[in-house]
Amino acid sequence: MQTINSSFNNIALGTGNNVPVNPAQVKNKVNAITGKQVTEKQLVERQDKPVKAEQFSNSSKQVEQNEAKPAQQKQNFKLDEAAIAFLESNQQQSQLVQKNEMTANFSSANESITKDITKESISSQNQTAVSSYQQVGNLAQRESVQQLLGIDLYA
Amino acid sequence: MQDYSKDSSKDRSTETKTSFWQKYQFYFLLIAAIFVRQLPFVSIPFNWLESYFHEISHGIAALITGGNIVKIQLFANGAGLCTTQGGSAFVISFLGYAGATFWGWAIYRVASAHQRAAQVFSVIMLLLLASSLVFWVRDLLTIIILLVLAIMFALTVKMRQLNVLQLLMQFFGLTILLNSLFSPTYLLDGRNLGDGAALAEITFVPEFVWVIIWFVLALGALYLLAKGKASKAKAS
Repeated sequence: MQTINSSFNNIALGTGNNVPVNPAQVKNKVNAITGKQVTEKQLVERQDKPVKAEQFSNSSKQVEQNEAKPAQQKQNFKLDEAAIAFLESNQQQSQLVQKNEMTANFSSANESITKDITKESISSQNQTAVSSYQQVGNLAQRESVQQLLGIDLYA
Repeated sequence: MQDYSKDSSKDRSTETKTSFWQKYQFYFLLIAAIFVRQLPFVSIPFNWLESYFHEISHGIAALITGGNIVKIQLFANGAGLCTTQGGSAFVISFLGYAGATFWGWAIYRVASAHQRAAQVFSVIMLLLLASSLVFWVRDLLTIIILLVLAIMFALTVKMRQLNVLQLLMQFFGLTILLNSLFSPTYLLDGRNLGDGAALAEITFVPEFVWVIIWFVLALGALYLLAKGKASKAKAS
């Protein structure tokens, strides 16, 4: 129901810019033809019988409005194109921005990785830490062998 | 009438040739040793020779300082391992490279002293290799390597031309000395393994200091041999 209503409202109110309209807002709108408040039920009926609604339009006001409608629709259509173009350009821009951000993030990540690598390759502290760890391992092995057999190995 | 002038000129030429050879014999042998070290397969037995004298020096140091040798292992790539029990860890660790340098220097010096002395020294080497085989070698590869070395020395002992034996012994001495000059530098690989690392652990003196000490000792031995040969040539 809501989808039907919203589509109908879009046409009826001449928003025409593909922006979904809240049906709750539409409920309280005043019909431009009759001057009465239009309920959901009535709107649905109109959608079901669009020809009937035209039969009731007799006044000049109504004619003017009817004449103005295609113009509005045309205008709306033009606006739509502009909006689409704007949206597309926006999308492209946003995509570009996203891409740039991604590349920036990637490059920054790369930079950080290379920095880390260079840090690893350069840092003497790491090297000494690893060598001291290995040394401790060798010492432990050596001590265990010495304790077991009381021997020394010389290479 | 005999023409003595021709004979005397011949003698002079042979004298000058001998003196030239004697003068530069050390350098010729040194160049030959450097060249042989670069050859892919020929250099392998000489690497084993240096490795054996390195390990036996560890062992002798253990024996001198009250320990004993459990076993000696030699590997095809020129590496070696000496397992000892007891003794001074410092002396045993230090005498690996220093001992090899001493062996190289001693072999050259004894071989240079007299041709017969070179032969006797060759027999002593053969006995040392045989006793190593009997007492301290437990694996097949080390047995094969020591047998190859023993054959090398046996061939020199059986040699009838003593001057060739002398030259060969001098050449062996120089190759051992060259290997003991360059081998310590292989310890500077940042892995903290080997005799330098062991000495650093014991004395808190960095490994590279010990490497420099061994390098200087080997250089000093080479210098002494070169100087000794030059002074002998001058005296003659």
